[in-house]
Amino acid sequence: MAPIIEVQNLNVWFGKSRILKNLSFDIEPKQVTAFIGPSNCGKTTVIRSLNRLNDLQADYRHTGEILFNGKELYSNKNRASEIARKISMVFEKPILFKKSIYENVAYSVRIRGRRQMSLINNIVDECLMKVQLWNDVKDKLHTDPNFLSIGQQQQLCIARALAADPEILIFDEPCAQLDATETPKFESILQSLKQQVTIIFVTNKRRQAARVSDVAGFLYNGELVEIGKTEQIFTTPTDTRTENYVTGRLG
Amino acid sequence: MDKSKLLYNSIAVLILLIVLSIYLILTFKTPVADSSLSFGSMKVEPITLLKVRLFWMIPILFITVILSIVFAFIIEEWLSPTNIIRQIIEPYIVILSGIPSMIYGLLAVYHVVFNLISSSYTSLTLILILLVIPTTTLSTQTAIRNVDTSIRNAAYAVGGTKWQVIFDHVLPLSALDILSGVCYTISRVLTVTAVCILVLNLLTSDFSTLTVINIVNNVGIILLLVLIFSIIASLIKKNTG
Repeated sequence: MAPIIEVQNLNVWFGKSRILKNLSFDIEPKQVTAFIGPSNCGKTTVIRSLNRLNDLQADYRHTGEILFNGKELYSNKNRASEIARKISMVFEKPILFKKSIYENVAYSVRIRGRRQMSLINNIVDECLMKVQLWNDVKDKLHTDPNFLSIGQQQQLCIARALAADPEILIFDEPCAQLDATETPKFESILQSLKQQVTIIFVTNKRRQAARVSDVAGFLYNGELVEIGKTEQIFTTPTDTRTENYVTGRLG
Repeated sequence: MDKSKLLYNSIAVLILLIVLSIYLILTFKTPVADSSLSFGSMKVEPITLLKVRLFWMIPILFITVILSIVFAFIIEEWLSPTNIIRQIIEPYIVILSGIPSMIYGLLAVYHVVFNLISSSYTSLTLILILLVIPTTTLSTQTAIRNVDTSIRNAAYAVGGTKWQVIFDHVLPLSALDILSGVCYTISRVLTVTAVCILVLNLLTSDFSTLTVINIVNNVGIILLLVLIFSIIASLIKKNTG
């Protein structure tokens, strides 16, 4: 299958500091790709370059090529908002709008200009079921989401991202705020979503990346040291830095 | 970065000083012809005059407030902090909004005494603009900046356009803070009015006990309004914080 995202020689600068150095990788559709690495190595910058959220930063600039479905991602024909919808994102902390549970999910549908109530209702129900939140909130759809636990709030965020009908779903350290009991649930959601969307996620939990991902890439100081099948990365890494990291001697 | 900021700030101070001195020089060249104060062709009492002006001021106030809110949104949302236009404009906003409203009041009095005659509406409008736009813009800018960036990011990440993010999230979340800033600005405008009324009426009064009491009463009512608006402003602000 043709890769959904192709990155060639990506360099990223914020002001004068160079964050990413000559990154080249492909992302296959309908797979889970994980980027691992110690903090401050540019993981978040990589994924935010992919959905053009870095455009919001004033001093951001990049060189190199990013192709999405074979077309240049940063061309003027693509509106940044349209790209951000197709490559939707879930953040480290659950960020909810000050609206009801229903409205939080429906917002992603509404901003696309779809206003039929039946359609919105269907999408909201479907998305909440996909993230296994439906049974917890089906009687309380129109209440404030603040009573939910952190894990449930994060599930709601995933539902909201799914309602935007994305082709790729990006997670930025999604389990950083979750405890041990909520993480397995999140991982099962990730596995079930794999059939519908391509998933890219960033984590500094090595074991989680090993459990969940199909492809793993190791970033270190802004360089993509190694990318390959997760099994290969975690068992027979070619680079010593990768080996040090996955075995726990580094970071 | 800091160097350029210092440069633009000093340029702003210099230009404001030059403008002020040119203004003073020009007005000093045209002193009032006769010693008795006549307010143009209209021989009316200053209080009545200011009441008429007050009705003129309300629509102008409304328009300038709306304009400066729009202005603040343009600066915050469309001009990045490194943008040269923003770097040039911002010092003026900060400096002008930092001047106490008393000074503006004295400026207004000075203006009225020396050359209200020909175009009083224009001059009052100018002073009002000078007073309202910097304060409202600055408070609106702060209110916009106080909106959590993560909310913006979340809205962008599900495909919101800039306009959608502004109207659906930034504006509702900053509305109360913006309103508080507007209340604060209104209280500043009222302070200026109080200064004008006090000084102009004392200048033209015969200093009998009754007129002085009358003037002080008028000023007192306005100062009470100032107090009320300031309290409203602080109350609204507290609730959002």
